[in-house]
Amino acid sequence: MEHWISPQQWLDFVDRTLTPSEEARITAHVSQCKDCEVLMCGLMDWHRLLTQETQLLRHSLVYLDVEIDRLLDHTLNRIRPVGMKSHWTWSVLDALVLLRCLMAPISGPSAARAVMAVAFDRSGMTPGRCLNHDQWSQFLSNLSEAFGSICGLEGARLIGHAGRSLSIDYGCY
Amino acid sequence: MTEEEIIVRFITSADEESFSALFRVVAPQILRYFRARGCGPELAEDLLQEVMISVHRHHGELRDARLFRPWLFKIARNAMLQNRRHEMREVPTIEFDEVPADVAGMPVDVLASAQLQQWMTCLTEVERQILMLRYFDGLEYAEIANVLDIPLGTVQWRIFNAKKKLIRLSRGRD
Repeated sequence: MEHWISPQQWLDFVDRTLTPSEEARITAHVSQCKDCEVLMCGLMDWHRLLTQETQLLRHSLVYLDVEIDRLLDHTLNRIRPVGMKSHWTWSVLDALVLLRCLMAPISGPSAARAVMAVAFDRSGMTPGRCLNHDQWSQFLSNLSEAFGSICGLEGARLIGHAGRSLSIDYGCY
Repeated sequence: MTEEEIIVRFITSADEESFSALFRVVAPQILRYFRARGCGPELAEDLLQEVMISVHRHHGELRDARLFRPWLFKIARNAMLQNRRHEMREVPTIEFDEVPADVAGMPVDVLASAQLQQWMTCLTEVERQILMLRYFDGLEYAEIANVLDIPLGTVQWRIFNAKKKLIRLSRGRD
């Protein structure tokens, strides 16, 4: 007998997410095919065992509200000092200033200015126009590449990581 | 308010109130994620904070609330892997003979449940990860594919294959 049931159909059958007609079709096949019946029993047994065991594990790891609130306080205290308490994001202009301040001590102020200008140019960015996420990512990649050509791979990585870690409030700059 | 509504509210406003509401919902899930994979209580709490700070910092990149869960678990997974890499990097300063066995041979998923751990030893690392994400963390197949950056069909095939291995294992013992 041909075993036509695919892995996806088996999983959906065990999860009971098949349509009634598909389920009936598989049930009919299984009732006539010994190999598929054995496989179905095995799959269902292991589905049940895994569900039970992971449920036990989940129930053994219970967290009280007071513990979660303590962790929330710690997390908020770590977020607040970086100046995001009131608006939580960086304007494009602030982000650009930050990146330039980061590059200047490594490459020197003039080189940092030049690298910035090259990245602006390559990304087609014009002051006064609005930016979106893709344009910012493109700018970061150009900036990182230009900075890397002066200060090496580690410098490129530093600027790339710094830029990507900022949450930007996209808009005109 | 449902979990879905809390996520949508966070994505749209991302202020302290919505972040706190989100934290209360997802923190227990993320703590369990780390604890079930062998992290101690303190490390799990540290990693949770890293994850939530990252969620806060990058919330602007998320447009679709349906993608929040896989995105969150991907951040958690990366945080754990980064921590493990950091721990491994410290190992060469010790003589190899002195490295405790549980550090030297530590798999990516060190499971807390003895029974689960026993079953999972016959599976590959990816199969273990997928089964845990599915059964312990309750992710859909498509969400698992997103977390691990692999095709949906591969996730389903791996789960099917893992279960077949477990069936063979149980038959061998019978």
